Amino acid sequence: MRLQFIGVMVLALGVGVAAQGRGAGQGRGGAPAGPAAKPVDPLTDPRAATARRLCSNCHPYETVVAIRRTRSQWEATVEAMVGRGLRGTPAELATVTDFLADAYGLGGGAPVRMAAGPDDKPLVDPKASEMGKPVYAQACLACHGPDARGTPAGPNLVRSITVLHDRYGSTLGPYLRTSHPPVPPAPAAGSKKASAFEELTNTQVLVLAHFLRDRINDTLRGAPMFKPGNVLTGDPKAGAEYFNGEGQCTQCHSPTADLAGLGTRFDPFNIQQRFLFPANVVRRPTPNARVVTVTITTESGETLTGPLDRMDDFTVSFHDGSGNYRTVRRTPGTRVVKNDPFAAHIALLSRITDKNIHDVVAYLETLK
Amino acid sequence: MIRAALLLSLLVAGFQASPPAQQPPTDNWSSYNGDYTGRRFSPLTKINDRNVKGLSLAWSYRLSAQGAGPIKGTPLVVNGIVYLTAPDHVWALDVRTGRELWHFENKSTGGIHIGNRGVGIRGDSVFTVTPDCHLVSLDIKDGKERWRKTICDLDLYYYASAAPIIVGNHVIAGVSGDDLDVPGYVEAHDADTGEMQWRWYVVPQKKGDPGFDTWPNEDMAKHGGGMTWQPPTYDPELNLIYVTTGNPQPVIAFKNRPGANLFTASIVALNPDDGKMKWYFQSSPNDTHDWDATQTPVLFDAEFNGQPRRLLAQASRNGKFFVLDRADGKALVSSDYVVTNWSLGFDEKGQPIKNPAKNPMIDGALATPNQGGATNWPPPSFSPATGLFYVSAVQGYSVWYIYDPGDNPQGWGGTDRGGWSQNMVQAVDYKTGKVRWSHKWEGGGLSGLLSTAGNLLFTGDGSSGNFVALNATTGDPLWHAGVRTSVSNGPITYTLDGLQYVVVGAGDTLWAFVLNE
Repeated sequence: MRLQFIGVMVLALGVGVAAQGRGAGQGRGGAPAGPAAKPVDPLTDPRAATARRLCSNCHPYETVVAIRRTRSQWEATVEAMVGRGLRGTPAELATVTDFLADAYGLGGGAPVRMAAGPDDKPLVDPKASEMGKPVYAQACLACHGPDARGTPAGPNLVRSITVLHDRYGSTLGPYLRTSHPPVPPAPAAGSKKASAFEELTNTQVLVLAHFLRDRINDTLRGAPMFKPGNVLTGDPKAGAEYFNGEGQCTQCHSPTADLAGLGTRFDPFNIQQRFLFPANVVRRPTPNARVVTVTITTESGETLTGPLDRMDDFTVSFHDGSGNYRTVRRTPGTRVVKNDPFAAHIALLSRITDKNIHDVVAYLETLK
Repeated sequence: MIRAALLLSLLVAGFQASPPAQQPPTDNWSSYNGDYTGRRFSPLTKINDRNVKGLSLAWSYRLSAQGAGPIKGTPLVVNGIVYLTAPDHVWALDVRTGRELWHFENKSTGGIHIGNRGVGIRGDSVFTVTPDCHLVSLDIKDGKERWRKTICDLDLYYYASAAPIIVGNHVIAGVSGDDLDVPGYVEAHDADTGEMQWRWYVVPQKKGDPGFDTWPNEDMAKHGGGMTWQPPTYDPELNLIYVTTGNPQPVIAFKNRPGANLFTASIVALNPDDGKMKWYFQSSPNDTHDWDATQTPVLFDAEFNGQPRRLLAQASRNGKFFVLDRADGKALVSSDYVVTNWSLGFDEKGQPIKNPAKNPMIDGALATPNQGGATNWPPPSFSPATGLFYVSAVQGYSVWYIYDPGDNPQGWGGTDRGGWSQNMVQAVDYKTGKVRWSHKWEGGGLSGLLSTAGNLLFTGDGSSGNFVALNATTGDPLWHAGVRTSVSNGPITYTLDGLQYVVVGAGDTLWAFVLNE
């Protein structure tokens, strides 16, 4: 009887979860639902091929799109991948970021297959998890701690095999009713039950299962609760000194010109990332955007120059002064010089200290 | 050129005085690394630095299951058949034509489908693992399933990806998955029946187990991770398999696991008959950067300080290069093969000493390598002809953050963000640990390596999408072919009908090149 009841509840919640899952990927709360996404077919969208081509250099494409992300999460992901070797033109990177956010964003798009764990792993209904909170607080918190990670009085539930094998109360309910040690809180006065756990209703077990699964999901990579902390720990005065001195930042930048108001445009975390890795920032291509260029001196002595499109040991491709795409074969007599507008930032990486970094962030943040 | 060839032949002759542990077959590629040593060195010379320009396409095969690539596994070649894998798939192809002969597909119940490293073959059986935690035995004739055994618990977010290695009647399989805090292990199964013979846990499962004193308590130790997601190598004379282990758990947020965290991020020597450990060497004590030490432990016999030695070399994900005596695990060389900024030198055992200032921090710490590592799973190569250890490498910087500042973080309470990286091949002198030559790539991403006695080094130039042959002595590019996308596995070579072939995977396509002369 109890089991049947749970089954009905699972079915009812399951529908809700499935519907919610399409909208919010991992089926978790916390991520703001964006505006209604444009209808994008992830298979036929013309941008899909570019995404597949760039991502599948290193990953099975399906694992890349296995988890939905917000636009800013996709931007951070693409930036991180540039840091790990993703190569593409600014236009390609912008296209891929837009496509992933449109087709695999949080708040709309195609259904996705979950990445880690079994296909039938329990999804979390945020409402059910919220309902589970007081049940947990009343029955479990004293021994297992506020985040279910255990205390000297009770084991870690995030690592519990019983909890990890659970499907919407399937192992949790029987365990609580028959196997859990009879610990306080004691059954209510006059109750015939051996322990408080026997008094839990099927619904309470179900919402408790959602709550505990939510705590497990809180430990997974990319969990919404994992956010950068305070990076504003440096000394702005020392940062200004580094900026004007050893860092040689004034060779290209000015706090009253290009960097004016920087502290109002970006939060400290983004200031830190942008000044260390400016090339990774997903930029919409604009006529004045700083891009990598090449200067080629051919065997015949001709000099060619323009924005770099692609280069390897054998050929170099670029757009010439008239905007025409050209590819030159790299023969022994051909000289190719790459001009990276961010070269000074790259050179900084091997000599800047963490103190310098935090000081510079503190200084740049003052540029309001 | 003649001088180079002469030098090469002298080198080869010099090294013949100290023969390798096993002479690899030249008409087969019968295990993940071609032989037990992990050298990925072929004695074949039909294709060499003088004629490699004539290499041309013999055939190509595109995976018949859409979306199953990239091909990360190394195909095996046995008796004229290629055995190729992707997660949930095994294909048998005619080695002369690339024609598909049979295809096995696992009906998946989940698991991360990020890669499959290849099959193991013994007699008339083909062994593979599946993302949903199974070790499966197939009939080599038609790919029909003989038996399957569960080797891990999908509910604990384990999955399986490593190529099984066959030693006697042991099928040795490792496990993958560092999402939840669960222990790594490696186990052996009877090749005929599939029954488990032994399991060796990477981290202590109870108080008093070896390594227990390097963990703060039993709960942290028994959930301490250390996945065994790359195939071991094997020395038949010492009867030891060399298993490499992954990063500790929790991964980045390290506050609740002070200590070396044995035997994570280590090279361990096990007896393949009972799984008992003989020695260990920890490549990354108390790792806090996801730098597993699962990179191939390459075995070779060579002269060191005037003495013939049984050596083991690893270019580890943390940017450190180690040469050990493989009988006892004692370090002979410890060095950096790229610039690293996270250590304060090496201890008396030759293991790195961490600089605690480069641990992940709430406000960020700039470290190199980045999370992908100075290298990763793409197989390295050692050439006894040049005495060089070749590794697909990255000089990468990123900032490491703690996201969970609590006292009891679990799982993934931090990560690295941003970054800049430069990909390259590093050729390391095994006697000194110094980089002899370095060849940089414009493209990003890592490819596997194959060296040959023809003074060649085959690999990919990352996302530039070329399959490339370099001069193994100098690193100069000699030949390339556009293969549309990154070379995604380790190339192999063999002879067939008097011709030498080189076969490589790139994305969803296997390419076979041949010298028709």
